[in-house]
Amino acid sequence: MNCDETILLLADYESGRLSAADMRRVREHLDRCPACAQELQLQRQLDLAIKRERRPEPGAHVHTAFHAWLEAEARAMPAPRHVAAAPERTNIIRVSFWNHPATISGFVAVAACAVFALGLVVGSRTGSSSGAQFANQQNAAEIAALREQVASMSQAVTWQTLQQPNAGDRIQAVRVMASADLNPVDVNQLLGLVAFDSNSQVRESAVQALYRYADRPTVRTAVARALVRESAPVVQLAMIDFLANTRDPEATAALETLVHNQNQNPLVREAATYALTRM
Amino acid sequence: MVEALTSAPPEAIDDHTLMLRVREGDIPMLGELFQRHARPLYGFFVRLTGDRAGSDDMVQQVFHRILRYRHTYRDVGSFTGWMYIIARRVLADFQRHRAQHQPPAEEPALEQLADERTHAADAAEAGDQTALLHRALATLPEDVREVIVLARFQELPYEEVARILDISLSAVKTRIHRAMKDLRAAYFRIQEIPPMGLPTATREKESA
Repeated sequence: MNCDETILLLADYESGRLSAADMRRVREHLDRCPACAQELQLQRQLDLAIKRERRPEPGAHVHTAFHAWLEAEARAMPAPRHVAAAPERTNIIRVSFWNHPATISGFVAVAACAVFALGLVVGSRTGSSSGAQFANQQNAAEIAALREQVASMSQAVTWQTLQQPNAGDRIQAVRVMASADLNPVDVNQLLGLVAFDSNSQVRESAVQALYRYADRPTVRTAVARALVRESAPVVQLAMIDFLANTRDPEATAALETLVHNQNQNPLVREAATYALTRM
Repeated sequence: MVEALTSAPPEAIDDHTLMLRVREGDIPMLGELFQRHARPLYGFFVRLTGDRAGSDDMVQQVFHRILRYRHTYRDVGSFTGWMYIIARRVLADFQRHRAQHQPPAEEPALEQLADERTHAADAAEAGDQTALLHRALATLPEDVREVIVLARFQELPYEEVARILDISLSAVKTRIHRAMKDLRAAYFRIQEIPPMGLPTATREKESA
């Protein structure tokens, strides 16, 4: 063993990472080479300095902030994921009065009270008269019509919010939709956001809101198609996760496209590879 | 395996299993991983940037991303390697942000400290070898600093370092050798110890 070879192995020699044979060869060289022996001494001084380094410690506030954040995340998180459960959302967003969730929920609550009040009035009117059966049928029809109007108005408010130029407002509208039972038209609205909204956080939120409808083939197909066009890694990851949870073999082609694209973000490719194993 | 360990206390569970549990939705398990890794992770960032406040933020960022990308964690491989891959991305984002928002006059703290010979001499008198070491580290190019921090300061196995840096094992060994040589030269230079008998100048050449 010559000096160049020995020098290259000194660090491993010191940390005992060499094979027994190499350890012996380095030791033999050091015994007869003063220059390399001195090199080893310098190496040891540096190793000692590294060993004695005072290990940097994060500030105490980091621990406090982390545990507060984790607690909030754990509270917001649904039970371990399955297809029917929408995952957590953590975006910090700015909302205006008309699309604040309290406003929308309040609107729906007021409308529901109106339905209830109408029911009371109608009920007191009908009493036990001979025409009660006919009146009940008529009232039921009125209540159903009113309910439909309320639902329609609620939908109109949400749809209007989805047109807001502010992405935070649109995300908030998506969150409201995520907690409601949506009709096919609303689900199509979400799919439209997934495919075409200009903001990646809105697209990601829309993907999360679609979890409840993942059993519909049209939804899965639309998400898989959007995945091929998507360029934001955070949205790609959400879509991959969504498709992996559905275990729909139809999504395989989209996932394989990502896996084989060398220009894709490594995390995205890794996630797609993992998702393919779950199909 | 995950199910079998659900009744064990978190501190008795290895990193990989804890992370699998986090992936499956057992979010509080991330707290145990934070307890184990926040400090070395902070050391990684501080040694590479010299920015303590920024390193505080980056440690938290790493754990936020771990939770967010938990579904990308695979059953094979090590948690530590995966965590440092995320940490390097957080660091890259931090440096990009700092480059965009910090005036050119304000260089990173580590580089400033590196040339402060007077301060270095004071530190040596006070026996503050850690400060000298960090200043020596700061004189090295970032890629050299990174490999040395991972392998020698964080004491990660070479195989892990190779995976994190996405280079071959032999490239890791060569890079570490050069990095240690550069660090040593910088360390003794800052202490103003003459580079006596540096082997490259004086060593005898022997045949194998």
